[in-house]
Amino acid sequence: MKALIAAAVLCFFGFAMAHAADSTNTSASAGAEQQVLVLLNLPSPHFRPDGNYTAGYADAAGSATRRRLATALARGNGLSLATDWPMPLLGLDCYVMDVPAPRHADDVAALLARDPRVVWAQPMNVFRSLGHDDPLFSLQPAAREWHLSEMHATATGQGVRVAIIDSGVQLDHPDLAGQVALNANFVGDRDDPAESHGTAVAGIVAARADNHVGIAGVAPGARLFALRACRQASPADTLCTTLGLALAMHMAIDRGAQVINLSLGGPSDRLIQQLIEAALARGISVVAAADRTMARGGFPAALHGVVAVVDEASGATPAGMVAAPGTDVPATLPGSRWALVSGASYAAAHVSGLLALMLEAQGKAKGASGSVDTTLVVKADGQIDTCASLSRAAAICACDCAASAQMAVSITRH
Amino acid sequence: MRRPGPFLRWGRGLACAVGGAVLATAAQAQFGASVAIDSDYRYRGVSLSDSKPSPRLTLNYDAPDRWYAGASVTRAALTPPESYAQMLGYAGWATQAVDGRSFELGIDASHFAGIAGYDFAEAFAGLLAERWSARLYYAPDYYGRHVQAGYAEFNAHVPLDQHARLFGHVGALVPLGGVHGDAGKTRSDISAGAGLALRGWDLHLAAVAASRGGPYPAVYSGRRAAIVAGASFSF
Repeated sequence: MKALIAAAVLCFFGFAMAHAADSTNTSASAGAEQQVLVLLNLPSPHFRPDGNYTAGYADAAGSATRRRLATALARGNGLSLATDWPMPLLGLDCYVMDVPAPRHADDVAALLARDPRVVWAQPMNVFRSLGHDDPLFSLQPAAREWHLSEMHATATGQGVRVAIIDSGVQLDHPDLAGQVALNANFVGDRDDPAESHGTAVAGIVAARADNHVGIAGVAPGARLFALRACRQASPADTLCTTLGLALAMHMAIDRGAQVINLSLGGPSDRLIQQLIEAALARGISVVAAADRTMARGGFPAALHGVVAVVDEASGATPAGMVAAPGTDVPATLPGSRWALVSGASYAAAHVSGLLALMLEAQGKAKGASGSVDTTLVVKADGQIDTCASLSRAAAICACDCAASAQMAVSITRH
Repeated sequence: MRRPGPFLRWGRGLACAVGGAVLATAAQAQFGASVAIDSDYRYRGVSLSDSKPSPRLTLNYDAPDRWYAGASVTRAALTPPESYAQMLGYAGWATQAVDGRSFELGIDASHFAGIAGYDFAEAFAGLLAERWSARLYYAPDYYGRHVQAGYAEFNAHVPLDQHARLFGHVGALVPLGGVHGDAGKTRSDISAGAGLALRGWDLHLAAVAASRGGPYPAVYSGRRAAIVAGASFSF
C-alpha cells in the first residue's frame, strides 16, 4: 500500500506540473460572431457517497457529466467546443461552441435550443461602448453642475464597491492607484491591458481626490472592481461579448458589488438579462448607458430596474431615463494621461458614482442593517437633482437644499 | 412473519425516491458515473477496508427539478480477512441555490452482500455553499448493531486555481441513548488534504484521523490515523 501511496503522490505532483500548462481559452471576443452559447442545467451541490474526504470532487464528477453532454451536442451539430464556465448563481453551466463558416450562429443556436437536453442556446452577442475619446482638456462638469465638493462633505462613497464592467483599467494611473480592490480579466487576449474606455469610466467614478493631480472622481472613496469584459478594438471602438460580460457580471455579484456600471449597449441577451435580474434581486444597483437611437435606450438600459442614463447635452431626456454630464468630461486615460471624453458611457459613470455616495450616506443614516434605497430625485428636464438625491439618502441636507427642493418634481425609484 | 429490517423499509423508500427521480422529466437530466480507487476506504475516520486499497464505482442521476439519486459499489472488509461488496444507494432533493447556498434532504442505505446483518440506513439534512457543506445524519440502527446514531460533519475546500484545491473535514459520530462503555463515546474524525481535478480525473491526497471509541465500526485496534491517496475518473 505504501507503494500505492508513493505512486499516487508522484502522480499527484506530476499532474500538478502538467496542469499548469493547461489553460482554458477564455478569449471569446475574437470571432465571437461565429460562436454560440449553450446553457446546460447546473444541479445544486448535493450529497455524494465519495464526497466526505475529497471535498470538491463532486463538482468534478458533475462537471465531467456536463462536459460529456456538451461534447456530444457539439459533435452532433458539427461544432467544436471552445470553453465553458459554470454560473452557480443562475444554476447554469455555460458552454461556448465555435460555429464553422458559412453556417450562421443564429441558425445553430435555434437548432440547439430545440434539443431537450439544453436549457437554452443563443448566439454570442457583441456589445459596444457608448462614448468617444477626444484628447482635449477642460473642467469637470460635475464639479459645477453636481456641486461635487459640497456633496463630498457628506459622502465620498467610502468603502462602497462599484464594479466597472468594461475594457481594461490602468491600475497604476496616478489618479487610480489604490482605488481598485479587485481586478479580473475575462477577455484573455493579453495580460493587464490598460485601455481607454475602462480607464476613463473608472476615473469618472472613483479617481482619487486631493492628490494634486488630474481629476476627482464622483465617489473617490469607492472601491472599484475592474472587471475587463471588453477589448479596445480601435481607439474609438470598444467591443464586448456575451461571455465576457456574463463572467464579469457573475463575479461582480458573487464578490458583493453594490453598484454595477455597464457603459455599453447591444442586442437583447437572455443570459445577460438573467444576471442583471439576479443582481437587482440582491439589491445591487445596475447602471447602464442608454442609446437614444434605440427604443427605451436599448439593451441593457431598457431592462426594468436598470438606471438608464443619457448624456444631458445630447438632447431632451427620453421618458424613463435620467440625464447626467457626458460631454467634454475630463477623464483618466492610459499612459497616466487625462483627456476629455464624451458619450452616454461617461454619463452612466457619473450616476454610478452618485449611487456610491448615496449608499455610503444611507449607511451612515440607517446603519449597516438598514434596507437599501437608491431613489434618484429627477428634475422636470430629466436631469438628476444630485443634492436632493443625496440629501434624501443621508436624511440630512447635503447641499443647496432649498434650490433642490423647488426643482425636484418627480422621484424615480429604481 | 418476520418484520422487515430497517434496510428493507428504508430501502423501499429509497427505491421509490430513485424511481420518482428517474421517471421525472428526462429532458435536461444528467446521468454520470465515476470509477475510483483509494489506498484506504476510510468511512467517518474508520478504515472499512482493513487499511487496504478499495475500488469504487459510482452512478449519479440529477433530474432538472433538483431531485437526485445514485448508487455506489465498494469493497468493504468489516470482518477481515473476508471482504464484501458494499452497495450504497442514495436519493434526495436540493433547493435552488440562493445567494450561493442551498439546502438538501435525503436518505442513504447501505447493503453488505454476504453479511446483511450490518445493513443500515440514514436520513440526512444539509446546508451547502460553493465552498463548504454541513450535514446532519440520523441512523436508527447504525450498522445493524441496534444503536441509534447521529453524525454531524462540516466539509470545506479552498480553490487554489481552476483545478487545484485544498480541503478539510471534521465530523462527530454521536451514539443516541442507552449505549455504555467505549461504544457509547462520541467519535470525532478529521481530515485535510489537497486535490487536483482535470479533464475528468480527480487526484487527492489526505491525512485522516479519528478518536477512539464510538459505535461500531469503532477504532479499537486499527490505526487511528492514515494518509489516504486516491484517484477517480468521471465519465
